This record gives sequence, structure tokens and C-alpha cells, in this order.
Amino acid sequence: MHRTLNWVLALATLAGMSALYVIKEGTRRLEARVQAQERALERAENDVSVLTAERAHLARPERLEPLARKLGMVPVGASQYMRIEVDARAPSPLVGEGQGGADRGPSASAVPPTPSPSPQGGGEPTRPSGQAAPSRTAR
Amino acid sequence: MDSVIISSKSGRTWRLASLLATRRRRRTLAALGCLLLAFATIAGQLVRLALRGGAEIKLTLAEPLTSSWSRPDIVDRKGRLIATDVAVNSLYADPQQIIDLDEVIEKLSPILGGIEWGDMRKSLADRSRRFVWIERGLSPRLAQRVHDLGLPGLAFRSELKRIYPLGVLAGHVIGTVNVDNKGLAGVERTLDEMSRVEPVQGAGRMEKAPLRLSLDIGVQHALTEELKQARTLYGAPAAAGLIMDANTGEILAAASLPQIDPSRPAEWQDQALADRLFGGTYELGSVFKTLTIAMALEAGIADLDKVYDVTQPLTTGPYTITDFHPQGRPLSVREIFLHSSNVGAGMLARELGAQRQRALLDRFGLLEGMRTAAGPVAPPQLPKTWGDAETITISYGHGLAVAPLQFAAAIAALVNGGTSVTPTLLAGGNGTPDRRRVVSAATSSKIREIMRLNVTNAAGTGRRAEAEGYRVGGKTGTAEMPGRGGYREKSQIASFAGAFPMDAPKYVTLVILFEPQTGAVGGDHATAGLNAAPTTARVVERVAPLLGVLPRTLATRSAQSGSFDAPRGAQ
Repeated sequence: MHRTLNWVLALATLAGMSALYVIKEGTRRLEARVQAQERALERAENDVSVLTAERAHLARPERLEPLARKLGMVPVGASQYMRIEVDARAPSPLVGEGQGGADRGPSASAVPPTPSPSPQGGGEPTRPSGQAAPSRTAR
Repeated sequence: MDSVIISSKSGRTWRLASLLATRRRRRTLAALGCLLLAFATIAGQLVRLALRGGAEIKLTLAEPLTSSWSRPDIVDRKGRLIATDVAVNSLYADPQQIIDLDEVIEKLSPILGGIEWGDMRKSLADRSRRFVWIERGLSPRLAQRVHDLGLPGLAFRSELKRIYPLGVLAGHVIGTVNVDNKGLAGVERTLDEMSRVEPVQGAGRMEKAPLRLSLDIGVQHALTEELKQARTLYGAPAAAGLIMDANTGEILAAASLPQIDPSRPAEWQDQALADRLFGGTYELGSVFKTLTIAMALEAGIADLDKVYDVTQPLTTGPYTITDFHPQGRPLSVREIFLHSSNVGAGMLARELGAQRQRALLDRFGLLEGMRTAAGPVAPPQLPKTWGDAETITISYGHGLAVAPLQFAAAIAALVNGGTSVTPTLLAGGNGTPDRRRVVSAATSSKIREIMRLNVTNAAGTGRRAEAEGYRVGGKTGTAEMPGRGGYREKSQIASFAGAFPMDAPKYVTLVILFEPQTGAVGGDHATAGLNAAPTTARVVERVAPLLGVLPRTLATRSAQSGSFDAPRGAQ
């Protein structure tokens, strides 16, 4: 009886050892994969910061201004702003182009709008809140 | 067991139990003997070390104990990147692993310029060391070239390096860091003081929200470019400019020329590159008359129409005060401002008295230091005694030296309706700033009126500051710079303190040219009306569209007519 029990326990121990080895080996491989992924993540994060810095460097106003001036662009002048008077009785020129406008009342709104992209900007498509969006480009 | 008898061939007999006990005793004694021997050896060694003394214990490390610092990004008010950390390779050597030192130096020296190889050779020849930095923050290209050499004993360590993608733009404000990424000056130093940086080993970046500054990079660039052109145009060795929100105190642009490179910490020792807006104090001249007249109005001793006889020079002690442009007739307070009359300002100040003048200047915040996110602002330099002469000279901007930033804050309070502002470099202002009333709304309104008049009136000293449609107002100031034994007549500070649009001022501008040689009309006429004022006009014309300020002179056009004017100069 004891002899059989001893054999069973010995075999169970061996099986447990084997299972433990397999699990440990699997864990080690997973850890190695995690470490590799972490390294890859770190590299990717660093690449992102380098690219972000490079984009900011390329979009710096000091670089963009001469390029913009070469294209004939100049800082926005006061004469480029105009106030548009919309006559409610006259048909809107935008009707028929899918722009609607039938319910518009009379309004006089200033349209600031940057006929030419300003070379003073930082090159990124952001603008202060409250500032109207550029309407169109005039050259 | 006791009865077991063992006998040998020779006939000797032993009891088994006795034999086993003897053997156990011997083994125990042997073990004890070994232990005693071991302890005796250790004791002997301790005694030997104690008696010999002077034994040097050398600790050598294969890795440095020092850590780098991970810093949050710095962005402008629109989120555009100003400073960030990137991982770079730094080259180090393990002198014990170097096989041929001459070969190492011979092969590295063409790649790595700027290293003092004499000292480096000494360090690398010291075999007791296990770690010597050779060059930190190598570019990927250089690191690859060094790696390709395959020299034993050299290795790389990845660490963080601060990068400034905009170069020198706003360098004085941003500040700089040392080789370990620790803040040394400007906003970078403040980040350390705010505990926004964390020590890290290697190149591990921490995830932290970026620091959002009040600066607008587009506005900053426009201001800097116009100041650069003004330096060239008017022969000024240095210049400074500021654009501040008149209501919140947010600084949208702050430039000091010559500029400084945040990525070169060594430049920060050079006094010629020192920050003139935050770090220097100056007697700003006639721009102070704005404060003098505001003080007179606030104290109720005068209104804009009250007339003073300024035909005679003003004397105080041994000094005689005269006008630069004497009009030869009595002038109203309004005209004193327009013609920038020193005599008139002195008479107003004398009537006000030293005590009230000092109290009101204190209310403007001009008599004590302040600090911003870029660090402490240079404290004002007050006169040693504040008598009649000082009262008069301070009325037109001499005898009291203040940082230009502080003066701009006083102007902001004057034009925004009369409440104080605290200049800040952080987007969103100072949270809940302690805003107090400096002057009444009525006084503020009158100051706005005369500042605008100074630009629109043909007799105004600031008429060249007019920017079409943007309603600029302001005051010129031409101050002689102090020198040995007095003032240097030929060395001047020309400034224009202004605001726009003057019907409801949103922004305060300050343009200062140091020692300009000429002005708009050429020759040696280098007064502020001829250089600082037109520079302000050009600055406002460029930055107003970026700041969303609409020109008053909008052409009216029917929506149906459709076409737009071409931009000036674009065709």
C-alpha cells in the first residue's frame, strides 16, 4: 500500500515538475515578449517625439515666412478686410449651390479672412477661438 | 545494542556503542576545529587590516549614479510645440576594456570635434575607473559613425535631451537646461521649481501634461522679425518688444534682441545676450509722462484742459529742466502730453508732491519686484532720496529704473479701465488674480483719449505709430542712458508704449530700441517718434490680424459683387 502510494506520489512529483518547467518556460518567453514589446513601445514613443519635434522645426515661422514670401504671399493688410452687406430682398448668390440661405435675415458681418495665408503664422492649422475662418484666397 | 562485542584478529575487543560514541566525538571536534580555524582567520585578517591602516577602498561602477530629468513639453497658447525631450545616445568608455588608447583617440577625434583630448586621454588612461563620459547627446548620425568603428571599451547610454524646435525664438523666455536636463533659467527653471520634472534613469519619458504658455508663436515671430528690421534700419545694437493682453496680463510675445539659444547653456553667461525685458531695469524717459498725467488726473489736481505756463525752464536745486520741443506758449495738460513737455510734466509732479507720487507709483506696482513663470523680474531701482528734484525727473522718466515688463503692466492697468494686471507667461492668466483698482474708469478713459490723440494728431510725437485701421494709441519716450558721472547724450533708449484698438484696448505693446543711431527721416535724429513709433505701427499691422483684431476701415461691399481686393504687394 505504502509502496504504491510512494510510486504515485513520485510520478505526481515528476509530472508536477514537468508542468512547472513548461509553465516557467512559457512565462519566461512571455516576459521576453513583454520586454521586447516594451522596448518597441519606448522606441515608437521616442520616434513620435522626434517626429513631433521635427514637424515643429519644419513648421517654425522663421522657415515658413521666406517660403511664403517666395510664393508672393504677404502679411494680411487692413485693406484686405471687408464688410459684406447682405441684402435680404435680393436672392442669395449662394442659393442653388447647396448653401441654403433662404432663412437668412439682413446682416452686416465682418469677414476677416485672410485672403492669403499669413507667413507669420506657425504653420499649424489652428486659430484663436472667436476668429472667423479664412473665407477664400485672393491673389 | 550494549551487548554487541566487536573483536579484532589480534584479540582486542570493543563494545560497539562505545566505538560509535568515540567516532561521533571525533567528528564533532573536527567540525569545531574547522569553525574555530575559520573564525581565527577572519579575526586575524581584521587585526591585520586594523594594524596596517590606510587601506584604500575603491568603488568603481560600470554605470553612473547620476540620473537625468524628464521634463514636460512646453507648448504655446495654441498647442504648438516649443520644447520637448527626445532620447539620444551618449558615448562613454570603460577604461579597463580599452585595448589601444591611441587608436581610440585617433579614430574618435575626427568624428567628435570640440573635445579636449588631452584631458580625455588622462581620464581614459586611468585603469582604476570603469566609467568615463566622452560625449553626451550625440546625434543619431554621429552615434552610428562611432558605433561603426567597433572600438572595444566604448558603449552608448540612452538618455533624454531637451530639444527646442523653434531655435532661438523666445529663447529668453523659455530658458535653458544643463546636460542632465535640469532647468537653469527661464520657464525651464520654473518647471523645476514647480516640481514638474522627475528624475529618470536612461531615456524613460514621463507622461505629463504639457506646460501651456501664453505666448503665441506666430505673434512672437512677427514681433521678433519687426524688431530685427528695426535694429538694422535704425542702427540699434539691441531691441526689445512686448505684446500683452491688457485685461488678463497674458504675455503673447516677448522678444529681446540679440536673441539667445536655449540649446546652448554657455551663452547664458554672456551679458551682451542678457534679457532686456525681464532681466534689466531702465529709465524709460517720457513714456512715464503717461503715468504722471494719470496721477494728476486721479489726484484731482488737474484735468486735460488745465493750462500750465511751460514757457520758462523749470529749476530745482542746481538742475534746470527744459523741453526738447519748446512751444513757447502755455500748454494744456493734453498738449503737455502731445508735445511731451518735460517742464509741464515736472510742474504736474511738483503740484502732486513726492509723497503722493510715490504712493501712486506704488499703486501701479512699480516700486517693488515681481516674478513670472520665467523667474523673478529685475527689481526696480529707486532713488536714494525722493526730494523735489527726484519728483520732477521721475515725472518724465528719469531717476527711477524699472523693468520694461513692469512698466507695460502699469500701462495695461491705465488703459483697461483702471484695474491692475499681473503679467503672466501661463495661458489662461493667473487663475484668480488679485485685481485691484489702480485708477478710476474716468481717468482710464481720459488716458486712452490722449494716447490715441498722440497718434492721430499731427502735432503728436507718436503720429508715426498709426497702423491703418487698428486705432493705435501710445506715448513715445527717448531717454538718455546713464554713464559715468551722468547721462550719455548720444546713447539713448527710444521706446513707444502703446495699446490697440484704443476704443476698447485689448493689447498693450512696448517697443524699445537701445542706442539707435537714426530715425525715419535719416540723419542723427534718433528720437522714439522717428524709430520706436513706426516700428510699433509695423508690429501692430502684422500682429493684429493674427490676434483677431478687425480693422476699423472695413470696405463695405455687397455680397453679390463677389470679388476681393488683391493683397498689397502680392501681385
